[in-house]
Amino acid sequence: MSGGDAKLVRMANQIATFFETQPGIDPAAATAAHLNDFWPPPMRARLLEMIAEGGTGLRPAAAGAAPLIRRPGEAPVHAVPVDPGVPPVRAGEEAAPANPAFQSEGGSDG
Amino acid sequence: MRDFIIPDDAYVPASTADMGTPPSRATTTVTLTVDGMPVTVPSGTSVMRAAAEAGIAIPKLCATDSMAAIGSCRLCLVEVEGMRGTPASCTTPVAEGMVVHTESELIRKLRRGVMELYVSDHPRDLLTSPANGLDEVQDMAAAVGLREVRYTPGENHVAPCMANGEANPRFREPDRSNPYFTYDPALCIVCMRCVRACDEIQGTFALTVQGRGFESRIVAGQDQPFLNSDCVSCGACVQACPTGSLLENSVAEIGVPERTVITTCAYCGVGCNFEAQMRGDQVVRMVPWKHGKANHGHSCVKGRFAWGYANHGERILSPMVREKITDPWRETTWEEAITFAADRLKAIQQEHGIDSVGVITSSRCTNEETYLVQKLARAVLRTNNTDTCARVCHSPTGYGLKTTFGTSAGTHDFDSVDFCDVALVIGANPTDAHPVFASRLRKRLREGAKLIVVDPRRIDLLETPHLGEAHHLSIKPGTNVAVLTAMAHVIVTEGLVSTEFIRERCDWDEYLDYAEFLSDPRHSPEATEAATGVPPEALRAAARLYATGGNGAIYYGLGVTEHAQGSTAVMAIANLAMLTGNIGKPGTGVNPLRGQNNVQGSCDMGSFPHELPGYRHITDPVARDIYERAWGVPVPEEPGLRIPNMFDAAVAGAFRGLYCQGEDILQSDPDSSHVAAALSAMDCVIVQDLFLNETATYAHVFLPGSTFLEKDGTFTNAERRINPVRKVMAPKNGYGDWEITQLLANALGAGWSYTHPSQIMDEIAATTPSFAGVSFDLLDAVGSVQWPCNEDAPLGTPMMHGTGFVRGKGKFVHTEYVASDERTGPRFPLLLTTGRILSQYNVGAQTRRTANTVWHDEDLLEIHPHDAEERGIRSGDWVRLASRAGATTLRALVTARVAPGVVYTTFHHPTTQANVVTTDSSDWATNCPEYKVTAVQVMPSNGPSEWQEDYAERAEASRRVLPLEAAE
Repeated sequence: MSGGDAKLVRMANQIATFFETQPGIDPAAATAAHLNDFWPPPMRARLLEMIAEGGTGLRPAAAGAAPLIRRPGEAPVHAVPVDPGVPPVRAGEEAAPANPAFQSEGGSDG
Repeated sequence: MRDFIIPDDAYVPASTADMGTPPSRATTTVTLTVDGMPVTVPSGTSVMRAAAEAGIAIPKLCATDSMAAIGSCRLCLVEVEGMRGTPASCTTPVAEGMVVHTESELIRKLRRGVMELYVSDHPRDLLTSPANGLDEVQDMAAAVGLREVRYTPGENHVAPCMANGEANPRFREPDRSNPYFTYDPALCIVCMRCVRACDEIQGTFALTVQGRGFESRIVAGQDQPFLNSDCVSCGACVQACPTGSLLENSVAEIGVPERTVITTCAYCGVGCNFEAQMRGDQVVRMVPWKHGKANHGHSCVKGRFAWGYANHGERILSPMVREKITDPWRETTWEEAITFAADRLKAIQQEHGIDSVGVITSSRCTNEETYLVQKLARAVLRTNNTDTCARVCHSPTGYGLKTTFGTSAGTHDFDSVDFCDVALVIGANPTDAHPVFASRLRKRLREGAKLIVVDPRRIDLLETPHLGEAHHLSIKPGTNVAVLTAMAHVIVTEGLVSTEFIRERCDWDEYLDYAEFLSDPRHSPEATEAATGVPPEALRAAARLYATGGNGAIYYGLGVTEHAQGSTAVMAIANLAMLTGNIGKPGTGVNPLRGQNNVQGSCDMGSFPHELPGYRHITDPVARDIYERAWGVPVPEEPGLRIPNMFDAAVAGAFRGLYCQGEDILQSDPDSSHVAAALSAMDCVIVQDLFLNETATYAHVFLPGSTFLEKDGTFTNAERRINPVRKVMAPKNGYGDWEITQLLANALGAGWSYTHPSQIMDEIAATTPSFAGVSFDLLDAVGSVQWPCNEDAPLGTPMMHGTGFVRGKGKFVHTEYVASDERTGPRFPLLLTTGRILSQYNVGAQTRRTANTVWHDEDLLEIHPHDAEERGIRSGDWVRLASRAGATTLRALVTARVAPGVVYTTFHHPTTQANVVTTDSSDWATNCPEYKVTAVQVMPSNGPSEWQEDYAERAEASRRVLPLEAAE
């Protein structure tokens, strides 16, 4: 495995390791959401290739994230929900975290 | 964000008057008359200050409004009806109905008598003294109408020779040991302002009065030269001195300043406001501004004194280009340099695709400049490949606090420290890296607040004079999450949680879930000791204190974030605050101490590749729509490359062009060999900086940048405070940095037409809800504001999450400790951790070009005596420091400050290049490098490492410059 690939595996595993410790969520889905939010398309594409080639060295949550990882060029998998009635400049100053694993049940009133 | 507290020290731009004594915080008022004028002031105010409020300046020498009065000089005597004698107005509190007379025949006589004594032992002729025009003894002699001195010349401290021609044993030559100021004992009146400033304001206790009566004199340390004493050169004593006995050398060299511009320091994230005191376009001195809301008139050695780099001979003022990085530089015109850069970027994009180029914004430049650089990436280059050096310091803070609280920023202002009862300082070294905040914290510690330090090293805060209860959890580097989770375990299992707070502000079921997780015996301090090295009883005591000791405030730094579990540690910190209800009220909170002046701002301004300004995710169509309409172009919706990703992509050949503004990535980023390989692989590296920094060794275009003295703009400090930066002199390089970015953007076809940074801020305000109310006009009117600043909070928001979290309910994220991959073994048995020193800043590009090098002219490796002895290493020996990434050599300092098994160094000097040794291990969520943990070996050495030799050769070759004429 090349140095770059090994680094991708290590980083994906770090992310998977974190989400595997969180209660009440699907670690693979959360890992995919994190990768979609933070990894640029070429890194996601290479990771998907490696998973397709067998995913050597990847933790289950990282390998299992594949179906939910956004393929470059595809529509966003986890777009932030947008209410069409909300004006473009919202009252709160920040969008909710994009990863659904962290969206609170009660909804944000910020 | 829903409730805010309007700051109580109202901004009065014109008020530089010394009110004599500090303001009273009382809310009840008292009315008195001073010289017939009725005055209403808060109770506890001194008569002197009440008179000043009425516009009456009572003569004074030892009193000043930055410190408590001591009533020593006896010049401020007044008469109070019904009171016996003539009390000192500085130490006499006002009372209801008090009738004060500040002038009378008796008072005049007494004051003249006092002045006559002062003048009898004071130089009379200051015509050619540097203190001429600054000596308040002269002003007071005039104020009290002193017309004659009846004492004949006799014993004194002033004249080098006595009347009989013999040397005067009381006379002392000025102490010129400090590079920035001189102490001339002849001018000293022993008013003790300097001693009190050192004690009360700075908290170092380096000065004292030696001797009694006529023999008394001010000395540093044990009557040592200032430089050899405990003095940290903060300059508070110089600022406090009423006579010019302690005076900046720059005043002696240039003369007394004639005008003042209020601006903001360009060093650390404290964000001190300064008066730039000017003569023409020359800075005479920087004096911390008393109305500065972060610093309240205090500063450190860097901000006050280390600004001379602006005029340093190595500063590059002319643009330069070269075809290949092995060529010498060729000086050229701005037009050619910009065209050269733009053409190369365009060619790269045409050949290798839109995303083959990117930008790095600077945490040292202004918000406006940072905003423009990310706008250049998104709107002109059409890529989200934009990142900032915050990536390598506080990106986990952004991720962690946004996830738990809903906002990527610290919760409180610095003033809040005055109300804290327990300060929990984790992975931060405030006395060196955030000195003005450290002074404020030390003041609170002297008042009785308790201290908990979680750090592998025994930091100076633990040596605070008059420190009361203090705990030091000396942890093994890389085990923050285990320690913080163990503290939470103690708090939960011992029933110390604030159930009321959690029920109201958090999700109760989520809490129960987290409590169950925490209660598992694997999180107990007894179980985690093996990994953390922290004795269980010490950890339990600290956890109990934080939970039950009153207002608990957490201050943390890069020792938390720069780890493989940096983001998890930030969330563990947030959890601790929520479990104990230590958030949402003064004296509490979670407060990241930001490294550089504008780390907060560069994050706010959308520098990250996944976020638009105001932390709105790039996939959020609403946010993108705002910018698409503002900029008139589609905004790419995929996250771009982060800095480490850029390097990896460059080595792989996919990333080939970089515009890097005001950051020295080669010196500051980890694994220097990898960074160098990445930079060498690129077709076009554009560096915009003041000096030929280390990154410029690999650059093709060098665009000379401007200093903070040469442009308008804003910096945002660690408390979200947007501080104005004001131009005090024309840019020596010809352009402010924002103008250079605009030139480059326009050469790439942007068509921008900003004529002043205020227009850029207007665009930021129009597009970013948390900045909606911010404008240069507002900053001119109120001094500074803390975001969110909008319709709900027109004067900004000093404290966030007062009644509810921005995200709604606070989120408890589970914090399982995962050991870092970076661990010791037989080849690399020690753990290296890194940090800063007071006198130097970051990569040292600025401070190394000032006299601050007298305090620190090389990076040293701190090593425990046990480890040193095993290796036969003594202090001062050259040692080789090696990791799996690389090796460097530097000199050793044997000290028990570090624990056995841990070594420590700073990264201020390029010849050391500590980052040759650090590795590519990074935070799981943000890729923030794990600078704080590197497995290393240390051994005696007698020469530089291979990297150092190669690099020195390359750097020297790379710095050759052909002047403009020669190129023609």
